[in-house]
Amino acid sequence: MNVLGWLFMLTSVTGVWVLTIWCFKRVLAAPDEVPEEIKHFHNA
Amino acid sequence: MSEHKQEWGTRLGVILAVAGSAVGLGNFLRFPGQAAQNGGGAFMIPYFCALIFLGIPIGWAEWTMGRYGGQKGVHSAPAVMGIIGRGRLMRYLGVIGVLIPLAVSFYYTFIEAWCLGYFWSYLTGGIGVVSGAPVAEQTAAAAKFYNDFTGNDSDGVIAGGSYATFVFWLLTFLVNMLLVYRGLSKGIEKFCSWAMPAMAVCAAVVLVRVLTLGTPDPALPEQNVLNGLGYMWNPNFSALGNPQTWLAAAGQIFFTLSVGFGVIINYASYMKRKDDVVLSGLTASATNEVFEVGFGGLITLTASFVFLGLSGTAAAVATGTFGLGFTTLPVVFAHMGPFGNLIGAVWFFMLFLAAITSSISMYQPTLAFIQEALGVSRKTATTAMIGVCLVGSFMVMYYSKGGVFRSAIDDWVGTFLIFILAAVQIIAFGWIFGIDRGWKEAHVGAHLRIPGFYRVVIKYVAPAYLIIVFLAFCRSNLPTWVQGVVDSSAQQLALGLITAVTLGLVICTYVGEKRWRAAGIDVDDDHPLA
Repeated sequence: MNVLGWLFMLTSVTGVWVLTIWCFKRVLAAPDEVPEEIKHFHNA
Repeated sequence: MSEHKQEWGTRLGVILAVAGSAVGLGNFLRFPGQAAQNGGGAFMIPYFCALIFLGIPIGWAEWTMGRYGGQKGVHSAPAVMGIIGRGRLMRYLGVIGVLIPLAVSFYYTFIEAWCLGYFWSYLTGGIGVVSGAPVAEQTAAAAKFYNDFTGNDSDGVIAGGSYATFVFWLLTFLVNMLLVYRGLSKGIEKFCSWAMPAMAVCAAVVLVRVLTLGTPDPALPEQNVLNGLGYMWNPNFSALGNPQTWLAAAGQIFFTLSVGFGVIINYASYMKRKDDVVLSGLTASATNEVFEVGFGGLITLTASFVFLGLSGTAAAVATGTFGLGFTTLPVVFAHMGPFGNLIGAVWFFMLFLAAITSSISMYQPTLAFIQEALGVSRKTATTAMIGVCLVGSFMVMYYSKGGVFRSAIDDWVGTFLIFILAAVQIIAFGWIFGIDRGWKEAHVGAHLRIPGFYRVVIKYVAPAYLIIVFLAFCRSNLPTWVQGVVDSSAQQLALGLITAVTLGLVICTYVGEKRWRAAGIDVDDDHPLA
């Protein structure tokens, strides 16, 4: 595998894993109530 | 209609159910082939563009529309689309949102039964591919098992005596029906909550085995893991100048995320008003990408390359999803020595889980539609759905020769109509429901703010992107497809089946509309939710 192959593979695989872990962290940490900043945004 | 009231147990449950619906055989078998054929690593550029500008925004629109429809008391695509599109035209176009999952389930459960059958065969001694035999002999043995098991050589797989196939199909079908009948929370959600992690564990086991294969044959030093990864990931930038690459990437994103399939809109309709749809939609999409890029992109072609080399893998990719998964990989497992059968069993069990989490999502929209259109109980609706599915599935199983019958359904319903439904949905959301209302509605209860540029993406970019891809897709495929229907009686029969089912759904929608109006449901969204 050449250097660009490594670059594309690592970027893609790491990217989807990081996004997924970040999403699940937010889902699991999300309160039942809507966050204030979103409420403000929604009301705007 | 009190019996219709169902809801998800947890926010994680609905995410896993939608992700389970999206993760299917294509993540492990179709994606690597598409990438390798269209620029390798460079394929990821149009792929991620399509994810960002097509898949994710249409997904958000579907989640939002589904939840909005659910708040109005409806859960089926025709009713929800009628509300979002504010009229009869969109309501009847919404019929496609029931037709797609129903018709695809006719053949998908059959393929799911293959995975179960292969899993069982590997668990009990393999499929007859002799380890140590020449590759040509192994390939012939794998092809023979595939042809016998799936009825690929001749019509009438059941009548021809392949009772094993029928037994595995029956078992698969019954498990599906049981899970769907148990309901959203106790059936689908509970099952996906363990099936998705189990699938990830199976994928991780196979991935670790593949990445530690090294150079199994010292006589062929070029056939090693790194070169296998290189076959999949080394970029060929000249492919980016070919429109076919961009079309393939958009098509792959489109089908892998299950957008325009009619499932998300139904699943989201069971959410509460204040349940988040933005973060949930993104999480479900991201989870699907882990299985596709993180597992599918590393396992399938690497394993094939290590044992079959460049020419063998290129030939396997050319055979398509089923050739790669059910004929080539068994040869690869035969090369893995004493653990080959075990890895084969884990692999096909993983594919079975990927398939069943998708298939159960195909039945729920139909069930919801029959219930609310005809006003019948869940038991009656399940019975009616089983009747329709038995007819469709038996036809798929009987007309099995060359997979022509099921391919016709896959082409016209599982591909062509998905484009149509997605276009209808994004136009209804961005233009009829209105981007301002849609934007506000999406953020009700949201745990994440959608970046502002997505207003433009949802209203202009995604519909334009979709229409361009659809036209290019039609240009490259429609002439062949139409000719196929003209030439093949099996394809004509498949279209006849699709037409009959469509007619039934249209009649049910007509009856349903009268019932919904009589029940006081705001079917045209005359009184928008605040």
